[in-house]
Amino acid sequence: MLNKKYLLIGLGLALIVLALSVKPSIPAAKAIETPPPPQPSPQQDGGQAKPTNSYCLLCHAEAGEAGEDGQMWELPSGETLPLTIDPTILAASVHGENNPEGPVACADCHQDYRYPHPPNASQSVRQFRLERYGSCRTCHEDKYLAAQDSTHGAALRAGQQDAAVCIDCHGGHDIQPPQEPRERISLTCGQCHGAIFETYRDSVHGTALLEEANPDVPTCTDCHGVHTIANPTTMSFRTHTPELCGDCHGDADLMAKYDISTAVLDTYLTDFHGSTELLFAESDGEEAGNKAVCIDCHGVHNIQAVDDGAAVRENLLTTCRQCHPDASENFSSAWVGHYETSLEENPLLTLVTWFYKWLIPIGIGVFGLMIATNVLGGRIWGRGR
Amino acid sequence: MSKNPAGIQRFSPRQRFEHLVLMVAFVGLALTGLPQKYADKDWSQTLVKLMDGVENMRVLHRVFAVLLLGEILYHLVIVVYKLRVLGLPASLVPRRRDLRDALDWLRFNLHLKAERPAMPYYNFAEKLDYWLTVTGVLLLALTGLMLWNPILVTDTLPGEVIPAARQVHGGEALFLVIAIGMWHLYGVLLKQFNRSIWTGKITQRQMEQEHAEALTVERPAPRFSATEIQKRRQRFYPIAGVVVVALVAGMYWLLTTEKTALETVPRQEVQLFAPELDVQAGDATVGEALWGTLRCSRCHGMEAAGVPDGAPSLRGTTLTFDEFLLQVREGGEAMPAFSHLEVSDVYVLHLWTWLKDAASPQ
Repeated sequence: MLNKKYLLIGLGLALIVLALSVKPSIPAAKAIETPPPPQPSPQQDGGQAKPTNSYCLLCHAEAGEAGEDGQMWELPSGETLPLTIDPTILAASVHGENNPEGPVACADCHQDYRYPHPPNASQSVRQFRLERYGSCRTCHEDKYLAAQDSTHGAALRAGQQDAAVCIDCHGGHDIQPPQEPRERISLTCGQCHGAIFETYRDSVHGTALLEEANPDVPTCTDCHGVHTIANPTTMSFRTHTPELCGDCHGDADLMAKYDISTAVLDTYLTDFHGSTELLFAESDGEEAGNKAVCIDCHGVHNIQAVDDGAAVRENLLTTCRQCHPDASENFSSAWVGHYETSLEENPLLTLVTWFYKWLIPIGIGVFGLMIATNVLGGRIWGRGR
Repeated sequence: MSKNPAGIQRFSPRQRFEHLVLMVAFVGLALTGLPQKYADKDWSQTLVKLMDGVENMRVLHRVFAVLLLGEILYHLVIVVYKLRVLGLPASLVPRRRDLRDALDWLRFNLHLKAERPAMPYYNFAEKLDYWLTVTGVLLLALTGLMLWNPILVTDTLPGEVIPAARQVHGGEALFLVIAIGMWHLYGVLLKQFNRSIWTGKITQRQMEQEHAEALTVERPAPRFSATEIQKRRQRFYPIAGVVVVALVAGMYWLLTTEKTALETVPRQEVQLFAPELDVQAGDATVGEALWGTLRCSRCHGMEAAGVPDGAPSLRGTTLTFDEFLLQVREGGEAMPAFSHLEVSDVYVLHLWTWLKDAASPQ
């Protein structure tokens, strides 16, 4: 009983608001022509305040040539934006008929666009899009907030209007599963990050993704994250690259498919660069550091396969000299590679490693035994005699 | 030997000072060095944080290393002075009797022998401490200096010596810490609480237990006469002076000559925002990968081969790029227009590049 009463009050209020919002004139600055009042009215459709799609489509359905019937919005910037929509596009999108939550209606996203439409002050298409993407928050608040905290969000707040918002990556009406096919992910990022995409495309990862639809190679988001995309130029991102690469390159099952050694991470961390980096990452945070991480030798987006060991060796000195400009010819062979050391390859290193592997336990055993006889024999503390 | 109730004089102030310097350097080097060997351990991270970062820790490690190098040089001068100028016997050189003493001590511990061995002024346990430290410190100093100057070293030696030096440096350091931690600390703290290196005096009882022989034998006096010593001293001072100055200068050069690495890794400059990249040529691979992600495939088919009674096949299109782009932007009879917001010019170029050479599927 009570519920019905509140419903009636609510409905009444909604009607008052609706009545008040119907103003006799729409500002002339708006280029949108005012169409005749549509029929049927939303109230006739189940009595809900939210208009149905068919109500919206009375005006916004695609009809004839674009630009006809005032269906092209001319913005003050001189750009135009079509105001029509092919309903089949929405129906085929993730928000359409296959949406497990049920189809999303026009008015679910365009909540503040009751008819007659309030004036829109957007000066450009970009400004309009920046104004629109906030409606994604209604349903996808976690993703929306993560994106706000990302490097894109930060760039936007810093005034970089081109920084990507929800609809730049996902689209507006024609929203498809963003990771299907997998190539779509990197192609999406490539729309703005064209130069980086070009580099990635020619890398061992990019080639495998685009030419073979490889399911294992990283796409952009595997390294950079999806909505929480962090600024990759920070020291912290840099110092954590070994972990990032190690996620895949330390996975024995995954690497076995491609005959790639998983010793890469361990051999790196045992080496001077790796162990220092490990301590640096934990303690120095954002301070500038100079320890080589994976990307300094292998590249970032241009990572190539290292099938040809000899070629790698040849290039190594050049690579070393990026940070060690005075490096001598022999210097690069101080890096013994990402493979387990062997007696044939590195006799000196293998022998000294072996020597201390035995010396230390033997030392502990000998000293331990000598001390033990003293303690157990009761000759400690000068006692015993 | 005077039977002084306060103890018997054992270590001179100079010896005690040397021990203090050595101990500070040793502990300092271990605390700043071992975290670098065990970088993945929590205690390492804790120590590094205490020292305000690994860079600081490495500077501290080098400060302690210089202290230790100074102590090595000082000790060397003293040893040469004692042996060559005063003509004192080399009382720390291991001898056959030390092995016998060690075995007798073990037998005594195991109750196979009633008497503990009457050991000399420096017994086998102390000689072991001394030589473990001498060999360890020299090896650590040598490998440490190699690691300090990897470029200089690889000017003449193969690169492999650098990781080998690192292995030796870490291995020997751990061995020495364990050896001193077990053998030396047990010997001076637990087996008996021996304050002599701090007070200079040892108790009668400890002398009896550890150095019984020294209670019956006089400490050896200088072998040379006073005038001979005076003569030798006059020759020693200038030579020692020159050697010390040369060594210090050489060491200073060695520690400062090499600039191993840049302070910061040079950044790559990457064009971050490049939406309409001026692509010289479209890329068929990208075009093919793009196809399935765009709405085009919904009407023209997943293979762009057209659908019966629907949109035509686009494979092997004869349109020029400009015509193709116009078709996409303007649409056609049944085809909607696609703005640059949906398909960028570059993407249209990639698509066209792929389609124009794409063979029709059977």
